[in-house]
Amino acid sequence: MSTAVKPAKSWLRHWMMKGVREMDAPYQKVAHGEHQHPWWKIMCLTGVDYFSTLGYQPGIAFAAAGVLSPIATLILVLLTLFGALPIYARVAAESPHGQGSISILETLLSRWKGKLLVLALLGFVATDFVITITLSAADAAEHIIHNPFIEEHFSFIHHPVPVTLFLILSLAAVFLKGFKEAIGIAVFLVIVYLALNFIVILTGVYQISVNPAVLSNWRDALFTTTTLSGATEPRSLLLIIGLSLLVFPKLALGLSGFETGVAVMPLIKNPNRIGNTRKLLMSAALIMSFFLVCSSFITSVLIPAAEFQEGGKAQGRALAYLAHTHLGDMFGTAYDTSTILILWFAGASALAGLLNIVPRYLPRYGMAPDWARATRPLVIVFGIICFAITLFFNADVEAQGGAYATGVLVLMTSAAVAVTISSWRRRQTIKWAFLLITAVFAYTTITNIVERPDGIKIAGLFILTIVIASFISRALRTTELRIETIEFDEHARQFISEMVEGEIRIVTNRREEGKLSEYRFKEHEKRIDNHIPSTDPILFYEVELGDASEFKGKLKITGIDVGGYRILRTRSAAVPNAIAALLIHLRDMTGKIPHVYFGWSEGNPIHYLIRYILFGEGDTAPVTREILRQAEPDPELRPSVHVGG
Amino acid sequence: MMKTVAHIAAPISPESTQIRSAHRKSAIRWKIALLTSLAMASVTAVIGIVIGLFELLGLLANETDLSVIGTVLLVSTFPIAMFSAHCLEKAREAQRALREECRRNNL
Repeated sequence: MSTAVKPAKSWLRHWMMKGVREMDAPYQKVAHGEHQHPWWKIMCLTGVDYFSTLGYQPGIAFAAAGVLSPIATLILVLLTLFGALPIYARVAAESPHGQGSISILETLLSRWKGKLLVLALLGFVATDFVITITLSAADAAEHIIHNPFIEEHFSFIHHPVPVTLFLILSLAAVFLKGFKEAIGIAVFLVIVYLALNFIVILTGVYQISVNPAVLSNWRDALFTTTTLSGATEPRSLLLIIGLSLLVFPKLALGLSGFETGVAVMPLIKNPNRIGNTRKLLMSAALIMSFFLVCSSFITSVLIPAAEFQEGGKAQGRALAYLAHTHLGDMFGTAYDTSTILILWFAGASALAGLLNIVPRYLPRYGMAPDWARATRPLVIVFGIICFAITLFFNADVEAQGGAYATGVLVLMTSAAVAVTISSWRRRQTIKWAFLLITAVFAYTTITNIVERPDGIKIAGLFILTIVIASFISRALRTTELRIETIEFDEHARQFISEMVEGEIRIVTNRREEGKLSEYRFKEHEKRIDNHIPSTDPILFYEVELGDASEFKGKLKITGIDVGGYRILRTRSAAVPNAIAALLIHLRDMTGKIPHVYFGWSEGNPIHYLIRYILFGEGDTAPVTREILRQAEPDPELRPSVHVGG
Repeated sequence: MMKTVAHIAAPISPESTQIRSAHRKSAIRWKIALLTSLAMASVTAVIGIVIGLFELLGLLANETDLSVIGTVLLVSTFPIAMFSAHCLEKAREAQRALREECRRNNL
């Protein structure tokens, strides 16, 4: 028995709910060999998000650190290679289905605490992915409107907001239509984009080698500082490193996209998926480290500081500026096109990530309406949110950087925490190294939040919206059947087959000692209270309460004989739902309408209702009746509920 | 009319009375903590959301004291809510322990 999705009532509902998925675990099951690819191809899928950061990172780095940006970038690269890489390599080993650090943390905390933590982290995931979409679209818009060809022939395209909104709209439209071939496009885009960037970097290095004055200018600026009185003083190497350590958290965007490396694990071909994922992470980190350091260096040395400022030609597109300046507008336009496409596809990758992660958790917790399992309604919801974010930030790349970095850093810190706790529990020596990495990530995150509180505000609003909507949804859906399958053992099946001859009478019982005297007393009481003929056999049904924070589950029913009394026992997250599920199942199995017998509970019904939502038990009789009413609309076919006493 | 059948309970030991009393008190304490923390989380969430929305809509300037307070309230909602979840589980545990003790004594 399963709670199937309701049939489509109209073409709109049918279209919206197309491709709806059932998910009973926090990962999507991929059949052996189905849609699986070599690790380097999947690296390109991660790379559209990770590598596309090169489109805006050098500009953001210079705006934050000035001439120090190559040194600060170097520190960021060290954090990537010796912090993020070992953390995510460990996450990959501990979550081979691509569940990621959220799932590891979920198992570390109990019941409602675990679920609340997941909801909070989902808020940061939403912040990360939504701002990946809006920021990438905004940077793609910068590349469009500042392209000389567009400036000359399409001068009316000059404002980033409408261009960004158009890009987001087109992204949503593609997802609404259906998006199948992602890997092939990602591989093509990444290879072309990295090749063009490599050419730009080689050109930059060549330009520096033929014009060494620019390098000495940068070196002078690096090693001298201007005091308040206007005099210049030398700056020591130690001071440069110290200042770079202080500003490097502002460059944290250079890490963004790396965290998606584990999420794509199910797409990597077996055997040795974990080893291949580590290869993916290592290769992505090394490639990006090379491009980050080189791009930061050549842009800091070759581009005048004024061009990075508001309205400058290098703002949000530093490498594109170099491509146009040193390789001509033809190559520059090719570079712009490649950047626009990879940034747009980074948004697609983020939207795909969101569409993948929401159905993993919220519907499983009963904390989302049924439509949240379908792609199209989610695309519309996220599209509207992206529009709002773009309008709020006025499609400004730099302004969104802080919020984006907050989302990314919180997720990386949570991964570091998960890995540290895990290694601590296993008493491994490496725990100290993980603890140090966690401390560095925590420092980076806190600095970022203090400097740019936009991110935590947006994430906070996301979290609270998710938590409030989730609990309302959970409360509204609590009287659904919520049992997916029922399994009987041999004794239970035998008890039921013996009942089929006459009326099926189920007496619910909250077990006390489970002795013969208890069942003798309960039988007598129920027969008197409910006028059950003494000749009719009865079957006791006892539900032990399990984890009430779980929403859906399976029932394993065992049959026990206590001195001739036949008892069915099971364990469930919610008592009334387990009773209703058995009754419906018995009706379907035997073709008879079963009867269930309860006693009235002493106490306030509102108090019991709250207890039922929070603890999975309360005034069982009326709630069971309500679940049956919702599950079976026809009163003639509905199991009969009797309450006596 | 009285029902004709009743459980005949065994004598209750003073230790059991004490244990049940301790479980009952524990359940009450956790429920009070739960209600208090839920109320606090609701207040911090509502005020934090209102201030945050005012900022997002441009009705309140960034980097003002009120803006900082709004951010702090918004962020503090989460640990308070986690504490509520903890209280909920502890209250449940105390209730379960009380029920077990009653069951053991046929109460």
